[in-house]
Amino acid sequence: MTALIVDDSRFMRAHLRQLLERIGVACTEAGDGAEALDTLRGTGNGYDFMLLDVNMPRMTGLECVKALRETGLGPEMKVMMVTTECDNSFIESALEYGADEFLMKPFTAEGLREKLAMMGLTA
Amino acid sequence: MSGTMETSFFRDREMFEALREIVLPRMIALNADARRLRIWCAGCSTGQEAYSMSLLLREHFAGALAGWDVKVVATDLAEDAVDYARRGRYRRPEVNRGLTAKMLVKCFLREDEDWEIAPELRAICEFRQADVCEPMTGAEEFDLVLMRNVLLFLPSHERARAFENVRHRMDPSGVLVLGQAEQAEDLTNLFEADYLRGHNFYRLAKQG
Repeated sequence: MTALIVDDSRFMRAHLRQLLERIGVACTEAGDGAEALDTLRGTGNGYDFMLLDVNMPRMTGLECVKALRETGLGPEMKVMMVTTECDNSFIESALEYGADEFLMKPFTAEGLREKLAMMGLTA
Repeated sequence: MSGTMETSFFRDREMFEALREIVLPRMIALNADARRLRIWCAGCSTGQEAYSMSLLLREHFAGALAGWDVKVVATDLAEDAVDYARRGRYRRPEVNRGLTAKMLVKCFLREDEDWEIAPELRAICEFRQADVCEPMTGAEEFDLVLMRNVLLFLPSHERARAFENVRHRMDPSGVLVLGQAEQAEDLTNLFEADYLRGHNFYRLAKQG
């Protein structure tokens, strides 16, 4: 399984990478939404899923998921927002824009695995 | 008796899937004349299991159960756990487990830093402080009893009492669910098991 980790914090990217690699997921990283879209344009089949932070410079997670769904990049790719933003209205917006799931920071390794399973992704 | 405080919404998803796909549809068909459904969460801890049942019924059986008398009775020995459950307010780490984002926004209201279960989901749940090893007050018979991860923490003589209490409160066609690491091996003469989705669903054995 493959994942694109999008977060402007390299510590968070490293943390997510460690958790995912431990369950056999091959990870690629991007530092913001724009870099994520560039990375996706450069790959043929995209990734099985994307973990997407919200508050990032240049392009936020919400803008990124919206652009992703509008342009049809990685149409099969599941998108999970990983964020401290968690008002119901915000979560609803993210789902409307095309996100599949939502994981609030802070989270546990088990919590992350559960959410992947909810999207039909089991490593 | 409370098993453990470790709990989450839809803990053990496959068990809930089996309930949704097989056990509940059978139960609803059987109760079609009485239009009544009683569920007992024995050892409910902080309430996630009871609310998961309420959520499952609302999400998947709202049409089938329209106009029915439905109640989820949830008991625990620990008064503070029962109070917490009754309040129905959960913190971020709790709603981060077991709930899809869609369920969260649909079934919970944001209250300050917490999430509160929607009133219509809470309405069918009744929380009581009670010891599963002591006879339960009232005269209800339950169609479904969830007693998961309770027996693990009981000595064998108390396990037998808990089973006896549960057996007396089960409808003759009722179903008992234990935790994944628990079996009814002490009382194999009392129950028969259907093995569904990796779980045993116990029915009362036919007597005589």
